[in-house]
Amino acid sequence: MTIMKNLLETLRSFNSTQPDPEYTLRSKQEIFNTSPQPARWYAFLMPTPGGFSERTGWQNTIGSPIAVMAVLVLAFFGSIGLSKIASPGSTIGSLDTQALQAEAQAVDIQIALTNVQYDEALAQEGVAPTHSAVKGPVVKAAAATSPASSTVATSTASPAVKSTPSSTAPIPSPSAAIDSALKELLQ
Amino acid sequence: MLDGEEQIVRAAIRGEASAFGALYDHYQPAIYRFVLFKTGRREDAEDLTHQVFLRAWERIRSYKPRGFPFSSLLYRIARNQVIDHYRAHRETATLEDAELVLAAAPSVAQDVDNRLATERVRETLKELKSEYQDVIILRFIEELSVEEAAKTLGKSVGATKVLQHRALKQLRERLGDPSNGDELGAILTKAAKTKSA
Repeated sequence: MTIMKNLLETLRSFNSTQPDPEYTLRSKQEIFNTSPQPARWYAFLMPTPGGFSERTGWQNTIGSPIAVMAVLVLAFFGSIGLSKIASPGSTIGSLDTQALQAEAQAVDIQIALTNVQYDEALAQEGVAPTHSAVKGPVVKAAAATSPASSTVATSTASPAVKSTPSSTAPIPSPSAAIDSALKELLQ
Repeated sequence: MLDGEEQIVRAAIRGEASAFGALYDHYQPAIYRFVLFKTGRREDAEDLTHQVFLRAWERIRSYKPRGFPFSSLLYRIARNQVIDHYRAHRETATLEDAELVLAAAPSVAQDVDNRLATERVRETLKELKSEYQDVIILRFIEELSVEEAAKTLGKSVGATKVLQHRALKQLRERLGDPSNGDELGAILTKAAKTKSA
């Protein structure tokens, strides 16, 4: 306690420290040889005690106005881009719908049914096929697309027809395969 | 705070040199001490104090009081000046650190014991964090009230009290550190007795 008391007294004694009077006079004269600068329009943006720049140690007095201007510029240009995306009625100028349609039609998609089997018993009994995802008659087809081959499952409203992929059966021409399958289904 | 400071500050904002002169006369010693105890060198303190008031005068027309005392602006500029000074003179700052503040305050160092105590306290104060230095200088050297110190530091009264408590605690711990010498308490006591005698 005594140490603390003496410490505070010692600190208080530092208050008697004074600058050199000659220096004070010279400094004051030099200061008043200059004139104050005119007020700046962005003075309201200047750092305030305890403000952001004070807390962060970012002490450049011109920094705050520049930062605000940068944010405004970014917000302005950013809003132009956003408005184009956000507005539903707007169309993209460079979009050519006819060319896209023609391109879509030109894509060569070939679907081949490799093996179609008609399950008459199941159709008569009305038993749902074992395929869990489909109710009612179903066509399972192995399809080959060109250029990349992949499997496509389709369903129709016809009686139960099961089609399983067969690697051993000869593959007819795609268009003929589809035609024959449709005929069978119609019958 | 200076009597009628608000009016004086308004006159200074209008560009009246005499008004700013009054502010200078009132606050210059405090700002000088503030800088001196943070830098530890008289020449640096004089240069930086001059810069503080020069900048304040040059920008006085853009100043908006916002309810803070004018000293808060000066202390803020002073803190920035000290930071810039240390950035610019990092490698040379310690070369002439040995020069004592006491050289500028002969009345404080009345005898050897007093000199030892004040030197030890000053050196330890300089080792503290910048905000701890600030609160100790404002509260115990400049003897500002907690409210005034809080406004100057840009903190709440509660935060300033906490800061002050931590700063004093750390200062005392460092002074009482056995590596700093156990005789500190005796030195301080003896110095206090010398002053009171």
